[in-house]
Amino acid sequence: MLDWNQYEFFGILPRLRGKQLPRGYATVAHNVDLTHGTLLPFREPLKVKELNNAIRLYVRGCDIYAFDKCVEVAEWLPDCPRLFVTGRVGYPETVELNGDNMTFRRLGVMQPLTPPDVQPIYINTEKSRSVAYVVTFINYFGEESAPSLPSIDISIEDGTAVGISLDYNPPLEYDIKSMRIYRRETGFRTGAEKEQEMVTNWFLIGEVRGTNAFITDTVTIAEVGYGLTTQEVREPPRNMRNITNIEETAILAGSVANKLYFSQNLQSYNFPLSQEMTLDDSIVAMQSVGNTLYVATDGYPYQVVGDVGCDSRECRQVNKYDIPMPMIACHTGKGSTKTPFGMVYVSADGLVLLSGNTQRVITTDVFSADDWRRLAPHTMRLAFHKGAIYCVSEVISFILWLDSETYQDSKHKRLVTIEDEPIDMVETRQGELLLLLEDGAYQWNAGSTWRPYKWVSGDIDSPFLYSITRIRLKTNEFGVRCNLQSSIGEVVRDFPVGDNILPFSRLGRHKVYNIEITGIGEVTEIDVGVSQLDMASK
Amino acid sequence: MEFEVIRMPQTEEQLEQTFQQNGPFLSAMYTENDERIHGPENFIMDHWVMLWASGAGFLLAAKEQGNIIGLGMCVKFRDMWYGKQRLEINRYSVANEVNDEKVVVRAMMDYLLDNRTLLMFDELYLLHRTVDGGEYKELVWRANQT
Repeated sequence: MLDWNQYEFFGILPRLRGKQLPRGYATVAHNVDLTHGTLLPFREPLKVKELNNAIRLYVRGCDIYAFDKCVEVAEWLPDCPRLFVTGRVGYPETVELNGDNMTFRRLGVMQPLTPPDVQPIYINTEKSRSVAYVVTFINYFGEESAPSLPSIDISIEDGTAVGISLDYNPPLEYDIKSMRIYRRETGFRTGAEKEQEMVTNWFLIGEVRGTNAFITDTVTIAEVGYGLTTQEVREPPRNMRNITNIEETAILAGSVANKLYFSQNLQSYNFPLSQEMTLDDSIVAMQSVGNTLYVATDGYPYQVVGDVGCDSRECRQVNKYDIPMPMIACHTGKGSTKTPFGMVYVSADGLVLLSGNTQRVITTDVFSADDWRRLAPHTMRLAFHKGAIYCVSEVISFILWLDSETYQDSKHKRLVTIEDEPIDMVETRQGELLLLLEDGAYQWNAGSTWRPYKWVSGDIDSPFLYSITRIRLKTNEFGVRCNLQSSIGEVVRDFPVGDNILPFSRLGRHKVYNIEITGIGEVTEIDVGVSQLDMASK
Repeated sequence: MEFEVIRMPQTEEQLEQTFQQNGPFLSAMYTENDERIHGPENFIMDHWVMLWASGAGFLLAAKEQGNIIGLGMCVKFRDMWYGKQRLEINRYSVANEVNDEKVVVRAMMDYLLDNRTLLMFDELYLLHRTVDGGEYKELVWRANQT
């Protein structure tokens, strides 16, 4: 009597040879849903939007956006209907959303490069005082730049008419709409002083539309507006990549080579110098989990605190992990993903999880390092969906279940391969996984037809030569095809719905067999036997 | 390469300065064939000022290290027949020292395309003029291609 049956079906463990596999594990588990410990098919993906030439997908609420460049996209505050994009052109951008329409503008506001041209007036009386002017740009969103260099100093009395010529031509992409003119005044008291103090500040004189104007300043000292607040404002650098929204804050982060940039809290356009950091390694990807920013590089990974209260780099604690694990899937732009418990990225040895202070290669129990390198990891794209990592490379697509705490039905699944080769993958806010394929966006496992699966058992072996002549297989809903394989050939039988024993013609006597199941029926049990008598007890 | 949309001068001095900077490129836009047909009087300046003053066009300068290496005369209008917003590089000229003028023209078009949502056009055309006076209009980009 041959003792081999299968009542629980598991995924694959490529690092083990067929004979090493624990009972129930497979050598091939392709397109198969193992949630119930049975063999079930997935549904075909459902097309949700027609797209052409897209290589990046982003979903905001129910709106699907596509990009034809390898971009990184971040959202910011929930009430800010904009996206923040790096990688489309040579500078970071902010995208105004209006249904399907996107309007791209350069993120940040450039500083006026030259001082305003001020009429030279030198009045030398007891009432005269020295003043100067600066100008700032205001963009479409009302964001204000740092001031220009100050104009020449002039001496005027209160209310003296001063002609100011403003002639600028900022690049189109900033979408500058107006300019504010400030005048330097000295001698103000804040009211908090214990002694007489001379306070100097720049005060608003007025705002003009456009970037070319000639104005006459007749504003008296009693009529000036508020003081200038944008001395520390700095636009994000050219070539910034990896724009990331730090959760639980209103801070954006980005990188250029080994420099890490943070925006001022609540000011998405302002990346001040005081927040800039330089790491030892060049940054490849970043993910924010809570207010922690995980950074994968071409050397050591890092963990950076992204607290709101930080107004200087000293208070951003940086943890450089102990072991260098360079991220290698850098040219795909999607070689990392965030999970509820940390960042996962592609290294040469496997998928690395950065979680708190620990770094771990999470694929070593299923793929050894040499197995992993055969999977073309440098081409991998990742997504996290319902407790699993979806990983696609040029040679394989697979699902690796990680989160057995949140999803406690992952006992049998662990690792299965799938046939889809999406260019990009995104999990929506509603918890659905969208795949970007050649002709559009598809929702994973949501179509109206079943997708055939293929499952091949581990080795059915015995210390003696034997011949399998009978197989009992129980399938629901649909029939399946059973393929009995030995080293010299195979025998194929189609099993109808129900619990059936079918005879298999002899393949000779062997020590090792495998059983391959294909189809869309739910297979719950398989038994094999060497004779009709053998099957009587099964 | 950097790009500048040359705006309408506000003063006579600025106008003169702009003409001086861009004059050689504007003159080069008046081809030998134009001269043969329309005579030696270069009307490109008038054409440009008319477009500029009416808000129907602008000049796009491609620069390298602050020096102009290419100038395109861009015209934007709503197509009368199909209702599409068109942007056309109607005439262009490239500095003699540039090895491959196609690279500069391509970069100009890329710049316009990168900013297409701000410039709000549905189609981008490039008008080629051959030495023998031939013209053909190339459709470079059309909306609805992602």
